[in-house]
Amino acid sequence: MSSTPQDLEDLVGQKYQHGFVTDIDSDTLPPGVDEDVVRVISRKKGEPAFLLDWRLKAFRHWQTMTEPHWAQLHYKPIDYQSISYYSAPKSKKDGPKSLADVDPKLLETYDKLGVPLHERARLAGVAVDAVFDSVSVATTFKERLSEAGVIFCPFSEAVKNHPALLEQYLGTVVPPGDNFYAALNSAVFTDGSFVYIPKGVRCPMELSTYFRINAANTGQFERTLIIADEGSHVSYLEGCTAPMRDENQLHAAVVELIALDDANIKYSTVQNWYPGDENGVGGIYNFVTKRGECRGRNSRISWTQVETGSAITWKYPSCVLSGEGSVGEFYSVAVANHMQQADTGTKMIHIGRNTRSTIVSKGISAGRAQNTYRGLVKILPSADGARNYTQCDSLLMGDRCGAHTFPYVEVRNPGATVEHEATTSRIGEDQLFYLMQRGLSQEDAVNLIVNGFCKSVFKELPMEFAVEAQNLLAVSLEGSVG
Amino acid sequence: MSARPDAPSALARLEASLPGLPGGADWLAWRRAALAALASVGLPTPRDDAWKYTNLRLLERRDLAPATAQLLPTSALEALPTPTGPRLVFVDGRFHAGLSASALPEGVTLALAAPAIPPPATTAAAGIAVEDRIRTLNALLGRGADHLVIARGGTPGHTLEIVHVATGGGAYPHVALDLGNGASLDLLEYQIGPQQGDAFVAKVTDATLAAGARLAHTTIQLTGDRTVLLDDLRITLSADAHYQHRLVALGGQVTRFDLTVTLLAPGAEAHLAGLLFADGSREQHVRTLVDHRAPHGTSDQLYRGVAGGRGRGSYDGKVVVREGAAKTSSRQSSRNLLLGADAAIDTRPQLEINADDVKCAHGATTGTLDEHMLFYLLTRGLDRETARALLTYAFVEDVLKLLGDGPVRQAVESRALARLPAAATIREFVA
Repeated sequence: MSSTPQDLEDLVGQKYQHGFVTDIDSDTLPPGVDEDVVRVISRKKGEPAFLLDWRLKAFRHWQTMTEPHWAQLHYKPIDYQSISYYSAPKSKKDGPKSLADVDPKLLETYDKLGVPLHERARLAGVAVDAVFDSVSVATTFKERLSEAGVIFCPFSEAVKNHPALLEQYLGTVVPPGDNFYAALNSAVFTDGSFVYIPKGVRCPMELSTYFRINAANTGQFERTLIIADEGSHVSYLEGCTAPMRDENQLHAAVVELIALDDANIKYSTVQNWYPGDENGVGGIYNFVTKRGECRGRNSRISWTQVETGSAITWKYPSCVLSGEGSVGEFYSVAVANHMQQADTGTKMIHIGRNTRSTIVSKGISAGRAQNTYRGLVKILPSADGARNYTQCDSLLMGDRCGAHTFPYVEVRNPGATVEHEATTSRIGEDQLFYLMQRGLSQEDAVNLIVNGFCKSVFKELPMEFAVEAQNLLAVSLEGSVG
Repeated sequence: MSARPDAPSALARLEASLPGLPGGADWLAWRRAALAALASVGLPTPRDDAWKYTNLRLLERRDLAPATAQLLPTSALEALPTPTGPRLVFVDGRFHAGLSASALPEGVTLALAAPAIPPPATTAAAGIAVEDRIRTLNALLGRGADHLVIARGGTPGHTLEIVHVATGGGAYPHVALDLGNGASLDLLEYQIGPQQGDAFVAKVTDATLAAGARLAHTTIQLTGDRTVLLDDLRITLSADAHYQHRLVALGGQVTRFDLTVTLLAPGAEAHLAGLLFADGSREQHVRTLVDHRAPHGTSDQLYRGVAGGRGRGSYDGKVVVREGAAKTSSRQSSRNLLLGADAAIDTRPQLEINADDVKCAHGATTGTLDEHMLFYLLTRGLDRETARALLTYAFVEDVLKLLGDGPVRQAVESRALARLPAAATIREFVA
């Protein structure tokens, strides 16, 4: 096609815009992991005994497990003993009490990222539980949320203030031994977010967390637990950027969602971690376990993700639909450029009667990237009247990238209806030609087509994210095709 | 892959039958080494990704030793439709001249496996890859490949029938088809087995199509209710070669077709279609791998599965488009009908695309009969049973109609109909 090589190089060579490192003393453990490290983390967090036992059990199980290699991903073996498992910004005795106590450099970081932490937060109408490396430093809008009875706090705070809820729900959706990365996370997780929406409450605002990996060589092990009690409703936003760095950084988060009767959880992610440079040097390794359980009748869990970052993505946000009439949704745009590799998709496990699920996945590959959709739809014998619709489309930009589709459909109930369709193609020359003869530049034409390709996913994103997502996509891809 | 402590016993029992197999001391040594190597890794299990949906556990209790009884299965042969061309009969994997046509069409030659050929040079000492295990089993218990050569430029319109008969015990047929430049062949293959008693068939089919060759291959699988059949087909296509496979799997206890089609040169085409009929407690599995290695290739796949009772079916299909295989066009369609509360269908239509200028699509559905269609038929005065049977028939017809209008289709259709309730009524409708 006709794009000049120069255009292509300019755009493909674009530097990562969020690349900067904030220089703060970190209280970091030496690299390596053993039972003592697990104990130290637990002690630093001041955790109750049940949690330490839980961590140790997970750690012992992890030691018996082997790393999974079934994904369509190729990377050098990870040395889990060369990673430091704990890093916290230096705390002032009992940690910051208000924003004024927070290290100004830290605030500067947020500023660059555009986290609405001060008044801007109020204007943006977003409550932010900002996670800086592993310790949450500030939480806003506590009062407005607590008026509604909503608990939204760093995980470590929940350990102290709501141990009963934690003990009841932690690990019930993603058991500590679920998979290699989840087991490691269960042993060494440092912080994350905890959300509890009481019965019948509609959360008054969208909840948002900015994750940010900062200290060199520290794997980030986040743990998020969201519980939506009967009849409640919550929308949760997760967005990520990370500083530029040459070493591969491991990230193995676990997210658990629990929706009880008639509850509704919407979980949206924009992931823009450092993807490595154009030669595949550096970049985040992202091995995430995200799973929600629709435990109650007529509950609903909706995952929406826009994945543009990370060198390696291994991520399958899933729904276990055990409640009668519950609904699971998965909307995804995954973009892989340069040397990025993404193996992502979802699992929909239908257990309850009349459960429904929808999967819409859009994969875009450019450069020499590999993008894989891997999804499972499983209808168990108990799921009478279950219904699934899956659509996964891939767009290829360039003749050296790959787009793969591995759907698993397992049906054990004759009353179920499961449909799957997928297409793979590139941007048609006729489409480009048509738009360009209407006066659009080639770049605008490509943008328009790509945005149209992703529209069915973007329309599921909350407004704040939809704009960011479109910008991200433009930056990642503009001109990759000509 | 670690050795499975539970796997080797059935294989280990085979040791005793090796000395009775053709070939000299070198062959026996080779067979022993291959058996030891295979026993150390075991047969494929659902833990092996490509065998995720097929469980061979029941083979543990089976005798896999090559069958020795040469009972003439004349009555089984008589039940088949009258041959449309010369017929070659293989009994338990061994060519049977007495039951076969004496004259082959011009340009077609059959070269039977000769024991004089030395055994393969490769020792299978190292771990045998999962995809080669059934082939290894075939090689170590079989008699080598029987070659069917279709000369270059062979006139189109040849029809050839191959009947594979299993009489009980193990059968290890290996047929290699070699089509020269521009050669053309219609191949109709029947697989029949004993109506009573256990049988095991591990069959290997190789076909090499030179430039411009054409092979229209139909497999009608009618084995008995206690037959385990594993059919491993590897097809390689040169420039502009054209391969077509039609599968109708009606019989068997557990059957599996592994089709690997490699499009080596530009312009090759592969058209695969199949009907998997898993009623009772039957298991019908298909796995396909269509490997586009050259530009301008075309492939399509159309599979229909029906599972009733406690039956299980699976379609595990993969299309690979290699770097540089531009202008590839590929389609996969898998539709499945679940009729029994304990029936199960698994599908996995996979795409692995490494070139951008391609058009690839797949679709898969699994469900039961459409309530609206049923309702319509009920309003026309049909009872529920007949209406269901009629809709099921219409569903399988998608594949059966690809068999043309000849006696083969009639024979297959009547066998499929016989499995449906209200067969007589449907015959009235569709006659």
